[in-house]
Formats: sequence, structure tokens, C-alpha cells
Amino acid sequence: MPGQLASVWSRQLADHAADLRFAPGGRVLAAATLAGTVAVLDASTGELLSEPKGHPGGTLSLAWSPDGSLFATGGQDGRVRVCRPGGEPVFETPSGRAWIEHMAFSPDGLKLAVGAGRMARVYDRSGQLLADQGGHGSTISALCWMGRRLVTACYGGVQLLEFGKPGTPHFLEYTGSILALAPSPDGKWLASGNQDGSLRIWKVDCAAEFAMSGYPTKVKALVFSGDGSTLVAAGGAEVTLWDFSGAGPVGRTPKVLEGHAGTVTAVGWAGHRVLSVSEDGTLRSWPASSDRGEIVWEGRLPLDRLAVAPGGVAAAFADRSGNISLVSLDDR
Amino acid sequence: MSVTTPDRVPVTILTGFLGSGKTTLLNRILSENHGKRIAVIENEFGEIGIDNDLVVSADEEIFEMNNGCICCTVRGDLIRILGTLMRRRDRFDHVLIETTGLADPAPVVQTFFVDDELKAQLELDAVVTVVDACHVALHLDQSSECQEQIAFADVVLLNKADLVSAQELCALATRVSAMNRWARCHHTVRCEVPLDNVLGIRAFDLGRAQEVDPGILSDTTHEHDTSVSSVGIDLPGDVHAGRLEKWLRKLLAERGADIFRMKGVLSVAGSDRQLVFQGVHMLFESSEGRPWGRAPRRSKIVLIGRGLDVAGIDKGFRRCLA
Repeated sequence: MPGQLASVWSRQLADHAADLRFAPGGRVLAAATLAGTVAVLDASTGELLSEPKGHPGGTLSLAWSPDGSLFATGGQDGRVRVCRPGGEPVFETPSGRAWIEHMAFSPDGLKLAVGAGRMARVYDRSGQLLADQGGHGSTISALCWMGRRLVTACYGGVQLLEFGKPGTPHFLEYTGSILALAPSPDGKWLASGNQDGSLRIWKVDCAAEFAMSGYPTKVKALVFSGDGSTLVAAGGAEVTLWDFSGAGPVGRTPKVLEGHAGTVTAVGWAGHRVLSVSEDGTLRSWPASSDRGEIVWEGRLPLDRLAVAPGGVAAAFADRSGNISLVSLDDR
Repeated sequence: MSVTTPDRVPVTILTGFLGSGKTTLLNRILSENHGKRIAVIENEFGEIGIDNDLVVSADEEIFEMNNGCICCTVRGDLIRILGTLMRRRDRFDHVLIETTGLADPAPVVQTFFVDDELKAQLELDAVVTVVDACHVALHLDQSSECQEQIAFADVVLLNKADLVSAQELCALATRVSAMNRWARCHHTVRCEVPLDNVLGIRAFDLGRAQEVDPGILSDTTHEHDTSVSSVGIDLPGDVHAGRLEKWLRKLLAERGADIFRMKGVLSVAGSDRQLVFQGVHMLFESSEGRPWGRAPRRSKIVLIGRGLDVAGIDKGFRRCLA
């Protein structure tokens, strides 16, 4: 295929990758597998650097602190484990009944937030529990930080908990099942992808709320561009781009990128380019200026995890069998 | 569209009141040497034997779906948990979902109609309801959940059959079949039943819907009854596609909340293949079945619901005849 790059490397993991993330700096890539193992890989070669202790039943989530000095994992055993990138343990929590599926370090790197069933737990770098936040009507389905605010979603809406400011959390209600969250980099907007095939957009400070429905499947993949001007969201085989510049997306028609032959499972940004992976087995790249995507990589099995290296120089992705591959993007 | 995996993993939904023997059946299924690797999603902490199998405890989380049908609810916890389990490379051969004693089975069943991802990888096998033959008469009179569990069932185990007289058991079996005429009923003691009678039923398989047996036409005199009953209608000849669609749409819009399950095999004018369909409340699935060939063309439907207007349904269906 013209324009197609060979992958830089491919590596078979013990099982499907539940989570895949580059360390800050982009030299290291970590993968959590449903076999329970964790693999820390050299991003340039795919070589295994270390195998931090995993989670029996399946490792489901992982996170890097923004300075790259801490690495956290969570899994089906209900345990949170934090270690150094080399594997030296820092702390771990007791096991529990609730799966640990979502976790994120705060932008200042001082706190680790974790979703454990209907509780959002926040730990400091030494494992001290700083908050054990309830108020969720169902299992936390997505979690992110917007500055000092911890944002958690579940069926029924979004909760914003401001740290260092006493007071009750702020709720954004929505009668529906939220599957994924995307905060805009400037903290102005919060978008959710939902089970009912819709996007919900909140202008956070005035709690104004907008719905964009009509996606053919549930919406699980959505990410703002680095400059905050565009939100990419996928439902079915289509990738949509919403223009958030100026007054925002309300009343605007999204740009629709067509080409995938199967449900798009993950999206990301490499600079101004959109990347998408799909059940059709392809990784596609969509230049900002055109609506024609090109196939960067094509395999036999459905792809469903995507991580873009800092600076957009490479993309790593996983297929259903647990094979992960990395392609270089810097010459494109 | 999601990519459909050719061999979808069957899902059995196990319902029944607390103390009916649900856990006994679950343990029997898990301990029997069937060579299958089973994943169990249970809602009550029970003492369950785990060997080669996986048992996950889940809190029932009922989500309303804003997808246009007013009564559609799904189990969010199942979407989340099964979504992860189905990504494992060593897949399970069978999934068993145990509901809480008082659960309405509809959200569990609807989950597999509504969620594309689960639909692509899993197929509903059957709803199996365990009934305590000794106490069910009381529950049937007082509990709508108990009625719904029987109404949704493809298989009913009248368990603890040794604790009631043959006469009582017979009366109970008659009552269950009046409520739900397609469920296969087995009399059991300590849920001892060949596993072929509870697993691998393929009751939701449209390809097997030809086996729908409407039985004898329901007694059309009980028009103001609010109890659960089933209606079967079997008419020779073709139906008119447009009229049928309009009638079904109206019926489900008006009475969908009271119609638990529906199945049918139809002969549509102008088509040389059977049209098979089934529904759960307002959710509905249909596909082309086998060619009619030289078989006599006829159209049959079975509905199970609460307070069904049998005469009205019969009249409505007859008007769809081409």
C-alpha cells in the first residue's frame, strides 16, 4: 500500500492490552494485560525493560506521574500498586472487591486518583489516602483531572471535586451512562461519550450543557486536540471532528472522516493529525487539511488500544490477541 | 457495525427467588464434568465452588437507556464486566448470569439486545428460572417479580418437587404453562436435571424460531385479567408486511411495558422465506428464516404478557392477513 510504513516493532504480550501508555518523554511504553501482567518496554525497540508485579485476574489500568518518577497500576484484584519505573515498590493498597479500571495522576503529580466501584480514592505519593469520595450512584466509569479538580463520571452524571477548596462537590447531571470523558486543555469544556450514542458537552463554569446525538454506536473514544480547538470523537466507523474554536461547537456541523470499515475503537492526536484505530484492523492518519485518511498500518485482527507518544512522533496500538506494535510518525 | 465473531459465546440467565435452589443449580453446573470453562456473574455472595471457572460478583446497576423506548433498562455492570472478560484471549465457553432473587429479568435480557459490543460476542442462550415448588404458589399470588421471572423463562425448574404432592405439582405445572406456554418445565429435586436441559437451549436463536409452537389459541374471555398469560395465534396464509409492521409498532408502543416476550414465524406476502422475529418488551429483532418451499405457508406468533387483551391481539393480527 502506498504510504504505508512498516511497524518499527511488534511484540506479543501475555494477553490483550487493557491499557497502554507512554511515559512522559516517550522513551518508555507500559502495557497492562488481561493476563494480569504489566510490561514496561523500550519504545524504540520494544525490548522488555521490566515487569512490575501485576494483578491476578487482570491488570486493567495504569498511569505515569507527569515527571515519570512513579508508575501506578490497578486491576481485577481491587488493588492499587505504585512503583518506580524500574519496578521498586513504593506502596500498595489492600485488595478489594471493586475492580480498579480508571486511574490518573493530578497534573502537579502529587496525587493519584483511582476509581474503585462507587468511590473515588485519592492517594498522595506515599500512599496516604487523601480522599475517599462517594456520591456516585453507580460504578465510576471514567475519571480525569482538570487542574485541581478531580472529575469522575458514572451513570447519572459527572462529579467535580475541587482540592484545596473546602465545599461540596459540584455535579453535572445527565440521565445516561457515561463511558468516557475528555477535558479541554484550557479547562473550559468537558465532553463525555455515552452508551446511548451521544456526546454531551458541558461548559464547565456556567454548567451549560449540550447534547450531540445520533452516533450509530456507543461513544467511547474522544480526545481534545492539544490546542483545544478540536474534539475528535468516534462512533461506529466514523470519526467526527467538532470545532471548539471561538464560541464553541454549538450550531456547527462536525467534519466527518470516513474510511474505516469497522467500528473505531480509539482515537488520538499526533500534532494536528488525527489517528484512529478500528475493528477493521487499520491505524489511519487524517491530516488536518484533508478529509482523506491514509492507512498507516494494517493487520488481520481488530485493533482497540492506541497511545500516541509525546510530540506525536510515534503511535503504539494493540490488537485483540495482545500483540502491540509501534509505528514511527515523525517523517510523515 | 461491530465485527461479529462467528462463534458467539452463549449466555444463560439464571433467575429465581432466594431459597428456590438457584445456587444449588449453579454449583451443579460448575461441578459437573462437562469440560466447559464457565464464567459466572453472580449478584449475591454465595458459597460457590470455583475450579477452572471464574466467578465475578457484581452489583446490579440498572441503567435507563435514552434510545427511544420508554421502558428500556439495561444492566450497566454487565456491559462493563463482560466487555472486559470477553477481551481475554482464553475465552469462556459459556457465561452464566445469576440475578438477585427479586430481580426483574428484563434489564439483563435487554442488555444483550441493546449493547452492540456484547451482541457481537455473546448470544443469549436461555432464561432459566428455578422455582420452589413448595412456596411458589404464595409468591405467584403476591409478587410481580416472581410472575415476571416465570414469564421470561425458556426453562422452568419446578424444584423441591419431593416436598409437594403429585397433585400440587401437577396444578403448579398447569399454572406455569398458562403463564408461559413456551417454557420447558422440568420437575426436579435439588435441581437434579441433565445439563442439556438447561445449557445450550438456544432459545434466542432466530434460526431456530421455526420451532415456535403457538399451541391452542388462548381463551379469549379473560380480557380484564391483570395476571401473566400467554397468547398464541396460528393463521394459515400470508401477512401484509406494511400492515404487520404498523400493527406491531402500535401494539408495542401502547402495551410494550406489559409484553414480556414475543416470538413469531411469519409468512410475508411476496417473500419466499420465513420471517422470524422475537422481542423483549419494546426491543425487537427479526431476520429472514428458511425458505418455505412446499411447506404450507402460515403465520404464527406467541406473546407472553400481563393483562393481555387476547381478543384485541387476535383481531389485530388477523387484520394483517394479506
